[in-house]
Amino acid sequence: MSGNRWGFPDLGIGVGLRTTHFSTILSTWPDVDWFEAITENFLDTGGRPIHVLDRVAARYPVVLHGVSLSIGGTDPLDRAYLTKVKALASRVKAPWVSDHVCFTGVAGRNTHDLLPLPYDEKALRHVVKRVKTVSDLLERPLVLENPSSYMEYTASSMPEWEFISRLAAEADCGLLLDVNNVYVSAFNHGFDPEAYLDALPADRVVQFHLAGHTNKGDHILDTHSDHVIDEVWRLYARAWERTGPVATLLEWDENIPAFSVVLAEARKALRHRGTPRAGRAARG
Amino acid sequence: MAEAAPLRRIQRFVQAVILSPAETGRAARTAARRELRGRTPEEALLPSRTLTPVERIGIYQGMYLHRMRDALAADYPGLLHALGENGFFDFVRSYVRRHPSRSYTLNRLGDHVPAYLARARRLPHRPFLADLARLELAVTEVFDAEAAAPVRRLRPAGVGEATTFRPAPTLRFLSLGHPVGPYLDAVRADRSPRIPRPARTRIALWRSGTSVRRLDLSRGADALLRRLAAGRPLGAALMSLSARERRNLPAREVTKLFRSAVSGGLLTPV
Repeated sequence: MSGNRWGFPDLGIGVGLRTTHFSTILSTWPDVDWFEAITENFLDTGGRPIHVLDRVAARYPVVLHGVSLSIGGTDPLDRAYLTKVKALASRVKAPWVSDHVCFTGVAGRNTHDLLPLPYDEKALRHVVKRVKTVSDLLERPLVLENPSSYMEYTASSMPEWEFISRLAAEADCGLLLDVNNVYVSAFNHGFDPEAYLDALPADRVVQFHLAGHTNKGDHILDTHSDHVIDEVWRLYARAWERTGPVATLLEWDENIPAFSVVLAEARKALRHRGTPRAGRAARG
Repeated sequence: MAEAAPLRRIQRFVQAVILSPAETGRAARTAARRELRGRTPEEALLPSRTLTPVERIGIYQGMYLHRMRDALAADYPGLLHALGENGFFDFVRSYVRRHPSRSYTLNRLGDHVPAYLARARRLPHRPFLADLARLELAVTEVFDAEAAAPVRRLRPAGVGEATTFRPAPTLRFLSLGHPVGPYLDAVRADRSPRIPRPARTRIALWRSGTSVRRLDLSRGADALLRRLAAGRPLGAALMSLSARERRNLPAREVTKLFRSAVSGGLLTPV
């Protein structure tokens, strides 16, 4: 069953494909529904990473998740990069390709961070146009993730959830709803995470992300370094009520434990998947 | 701000702060003056309940160097060991200032490290560090190199004077001034090697399947493998080597070399 407007499947419970788990995965073929691969880690390599990805993709659904598209950037889109992403997506038969609502650098440089945009009309027009271009080049809808962030601009004229909702509608793209990012940004910026979740167009959500974070007291860092906290699980359950069955993935990128621990954490999502509301939220 | 700065100016401001080695407040004031036409950081960024605008953008600035450090440490574990954690971080700080990432992947961040070290005059043991970095860069390049489809292999018994060989498509020869291979082996084995004395070192590096392999070579073995990799038949390669070196390679060394090179996929008889 799928509830999103493109009919993308609910892939079930997945985990991020990480180098440290390659041997375990290849030797045990664990009982996990699907994997998400960081796109850039598998471009420009003819060695072990792509060899492992090919073998994994032969047994499991694999979704590509990028970190360098810089959809909000003001440099020209990197068409050579996009051509490679498209080829990789075809190679692993990725049901969809995702990246983040952010910019990563400017003037030819890449900070390799997911930097927030000012949320105003000009930025919205700019990003909508680029999303359409990318979707055309990739020949598939682009799926974009809400970022976690630590700063806000005086130039912003609308809240992040309004920017992302309008972006999704006007560019006709899917959403990867990172529930932990909503929690992190809500803490850092002082907004209501439930209002954020309730404002997003549920029928455009094709994937969830879950992760742990690091609370520094006066701010939270999105470190993907720990278990998911209870409040994030509660927000996930609330979001899932609106979206219905949607592919869900756990990210763990620092202090990465054994694969079995990551998988057990991901499977906790099953306990929080309730009954979706009848009729779902209105499309649009 | 009275009027929002264009998106590109805002992005240039943010990036300038993140990439700056200066203290955040100074970096933010300088970047705002330059990129936002004389405005202040407080005119571009909002405070939170707990942090000032400068403290908030400082989070990104602080994480940047650690991200670059982690990327370079993954490709240069030997260099990390040789410099120590603090020395390596100092190196990262100055290196990325000169060579910030311009790629969609961090895998290419370290491409300029050997050349950078070769020019870093104030660094102790500079020639050794540059050699070590050459080896570590070559390892990452071989690790990611495209491999051609496997070719049909002859049995070693079928090898004769007229046999030619196809080199592994990932094969690299390195000629260095320090024995950096054993040093790197020791680091990987969690030992604490000392910086070795200079010594002419010849290395063949290639990939067999998904594993990177290394062969430390004598001068004669290096010369022979280079001739064979260039497509010369075995007999001709041995003869030209004998003429040049004015001696024959010991039979035992040739046999051992072939065993390693052929069984490891460095050379395939065709």
